[in-house]
Amino acid sequence: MTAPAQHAYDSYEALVEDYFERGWTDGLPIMPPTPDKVAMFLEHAGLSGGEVLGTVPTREVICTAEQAAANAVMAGCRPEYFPVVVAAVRAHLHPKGNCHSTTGTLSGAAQAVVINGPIRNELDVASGAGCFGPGFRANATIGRALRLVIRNVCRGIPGFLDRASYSTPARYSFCFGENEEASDWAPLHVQRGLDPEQSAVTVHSLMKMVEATDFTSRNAEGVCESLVANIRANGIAGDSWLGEDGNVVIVIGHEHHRFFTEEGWSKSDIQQYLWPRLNAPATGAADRMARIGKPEGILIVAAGGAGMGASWLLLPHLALAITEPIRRPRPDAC
Amino acid sequence: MVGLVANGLGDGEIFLDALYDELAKLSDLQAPLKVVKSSVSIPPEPGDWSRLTEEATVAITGFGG
Repeated sequence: MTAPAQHAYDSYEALVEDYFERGWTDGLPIMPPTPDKVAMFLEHAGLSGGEVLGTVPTREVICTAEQAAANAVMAGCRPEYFPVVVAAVRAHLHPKGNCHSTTGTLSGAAQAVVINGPIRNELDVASGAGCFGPGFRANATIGRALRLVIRNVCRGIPGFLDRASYSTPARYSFCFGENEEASDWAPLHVQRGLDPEQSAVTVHSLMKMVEATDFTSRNAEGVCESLVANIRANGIAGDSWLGEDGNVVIVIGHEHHRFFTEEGWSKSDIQQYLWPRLNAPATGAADRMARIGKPEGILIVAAGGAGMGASWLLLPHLALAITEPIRRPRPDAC
Repeated sequence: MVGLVANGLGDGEIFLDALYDELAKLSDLQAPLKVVKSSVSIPPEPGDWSRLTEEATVAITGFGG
């Protein structure tokens, strides 16, 4: 591996302007990826710079830990966020994460990073009111770091290998935590086979996100029916390459969540209710089949604040949602 | 040899066939090497990819749906 080039600047402003000029940013200013900061980030993840986090074979791209660290610094991450970024990059570059398609597609698919486990509270990852939006450093910068890796390492540059017709603001950053404390629901990473004490990220590439409002239902079944109607209004085509393992992520909002918990519905109960209804044959253009191969492919996440009778549907692009454990070298590292 | 790579969306395959017919009027072409991808948004299968890179002089594809 060749040593990375180093650039000297007279001022921060000069650096930022040069980074804009070189096309190394998402259009917003960045933090300088100085060698000492990159080294500090690598130390927090217990990784050497040359460690390979993943590849994009169709683009002849190999993503190293050093490249990811430089982009995490640029995104404004704190060093203790870096193990989360590493897990997110690994998840996205999983072969079934399908980086090539989900970052090149005309549809402008975005990557949602869902964080689970104890690290959410350690890093102040927002999972309640406003958790999809601005104002939370961990959310904003972890999601941005993944997108800068996609841009600067995987060459997902608009007009080049990113061919999106419109793209989406969610491509600046889209990261949130699951509100695991809201109920006794099994957290997403536990449903996917990890230990509750293990922190993890799940990266889901989404074709679009749809707000499923329902202000009138007053029970779990009513909320489920409105979720079914909203998903089927969009449809999910499925794909032979993904087989039976396709996913949809449903973020259950606070006001809907309480109907489920009051009636004792588990996540599994919701999956079992939704699955046959989503897979039922289409009845018209406004009621389409949502092909999800297994009930377990419906990923339920609790998040969001009080007041709004809404949940969110993160409808998939051509990729599986990949869950990756967050590995930290020592307890005091994060 | 001309390669034709169809992504399976819309009338893309029909369009590529028609495009080849027009090209064939202009030049003495062999029969095309045609690949229809097994999935919309992934590259051709490795075997198809090898055939394209080894046998086709140029490949034509499109994007969109």
